[in-house]
Amino acid sequence: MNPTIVILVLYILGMLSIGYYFYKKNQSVDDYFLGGRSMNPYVTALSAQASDMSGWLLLGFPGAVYAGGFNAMWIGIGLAVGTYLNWQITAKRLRRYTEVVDAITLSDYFENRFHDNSHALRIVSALAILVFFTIYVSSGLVAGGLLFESLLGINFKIAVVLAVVIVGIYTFLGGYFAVCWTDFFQGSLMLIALIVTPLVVVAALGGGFGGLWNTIGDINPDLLNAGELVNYNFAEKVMWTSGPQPGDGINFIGLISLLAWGLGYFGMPHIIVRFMGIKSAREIPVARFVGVTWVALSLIGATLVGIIGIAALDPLSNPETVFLDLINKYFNPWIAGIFMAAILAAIMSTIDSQLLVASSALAEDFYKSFFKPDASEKQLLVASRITVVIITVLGFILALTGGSVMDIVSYAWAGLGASFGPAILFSLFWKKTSRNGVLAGIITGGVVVVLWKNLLAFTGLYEIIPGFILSALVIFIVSSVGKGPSEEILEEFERAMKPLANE
Amino acid sequence: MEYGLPFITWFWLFVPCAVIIGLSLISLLNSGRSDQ
Repeated sequence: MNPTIVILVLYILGMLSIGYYFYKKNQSVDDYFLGGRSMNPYVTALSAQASDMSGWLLLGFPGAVYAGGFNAMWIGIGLAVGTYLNWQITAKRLRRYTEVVDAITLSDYFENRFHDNSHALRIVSALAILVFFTIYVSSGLVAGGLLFESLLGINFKIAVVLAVVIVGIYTFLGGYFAVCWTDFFQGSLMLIALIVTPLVVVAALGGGFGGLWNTIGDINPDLLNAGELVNYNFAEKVMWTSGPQPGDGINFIGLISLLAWGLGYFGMPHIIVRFMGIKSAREIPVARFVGVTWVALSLIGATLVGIIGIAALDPLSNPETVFLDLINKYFNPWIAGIFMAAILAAIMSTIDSQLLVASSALAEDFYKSFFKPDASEKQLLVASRITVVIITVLGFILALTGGSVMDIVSYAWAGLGASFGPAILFSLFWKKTSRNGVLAGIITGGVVVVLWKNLLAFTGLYEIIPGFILSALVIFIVSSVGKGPSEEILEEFERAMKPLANE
Repeated sequence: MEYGLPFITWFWLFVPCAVIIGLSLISLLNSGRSDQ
């Protein structure tokens, strides 16, 4: 049997056993969703980053660099800085505030933070989570499809089904504890793969990095310049031409659109929920250092993977398979199996966290709030697990409709970032933020992203920018004109600003 | 022909990453001190 497949099967069995172990252990909804707020900083950090970085990091992003040269690295810079700012600005305050108002999900936080008895905030945020996470989950299934298609030589659709079955079973069983611990392991594996691959391939090519730049420069020197634009069109056999016109550099709209990816972090529910699960706010500096270092190194590694692929491989029909093709060509099948497992790790560690957040949205926010307020813990766990199945099936249908990993992720990323980013930041930092302001802001962010993507994409401006700005403006204006928050809310706000008694 | 990485590429690839890692390290060391 092919050693690569043996390793991958062992890996999948290992992850499923962890899921099963925690399936037996999870006693409560709090355990399933937040691990009982008991995670140590190392697990929290790697889990936050592994949840963040999906198949996008190993397939979508290197693919963009492979096709466009160093110009695509601006996305990575935006994300690295965004990660740092999110840990720096949001983490500690959100950890404290969610304890003060006793919230275990993002929708809980909004409802409790604003004492919203109408449940309007809960419904709107749960809806935004369900819509954009379903899109996001489908990107992971596309990535899984690419992996199994390449590995097993099977049809893409069957490959996607395989990805659905593996990821679905594993999240269905495990919950937060399993997700966090497998994320920790998976995050380590992803980082190793991204550091080792470029070094091994450059060594195999000979001539070191100097030789690499020469080979790439001979193909098109603009590939080496982060300020220049390069096009790649395999179908029409025009690989790596400068343009639109030769000599056209990146313009302002292009640059801010790439950097603006970093804005998304403030509103990414599956990432910021990690901030809520850490043992204590005092652990955040350690987690921040580990998380930021991981992101910076893995983004540099992923950029190099894409760049090296230009010199080391024949032109690819799908640039997003660059990492897969590099490991197939340059590593022995056993090591290739481990690195393929890293791709699966990236996919699973993101999808599982997203399914978990989405299932908490449906089970806690809809089922418990509207249909069965007296639902037992057991019924809630069952409802959560059914949600995992529903979202996976919807994501599966979307995954089969086409689109690259990069395109699907960018849409979901913009939707979540613009809906929740400004709402989170205002609610954590501005005392006078009102319920109506946040409600209007979440709706505005989500709607603007969808409209911009469908009607104004020709402007070249990434939809997260108008979505984020308009959402922030709406929160500010609506909160300013309406009635101010009650004394009780103000008192909670003040309490969340200081270290808690148990820290 | 000989090619190298232009300034705009290597500077922006490495410096922002170095800065955020450095800043996180500094605040980690400072947080340890204030706890004592």
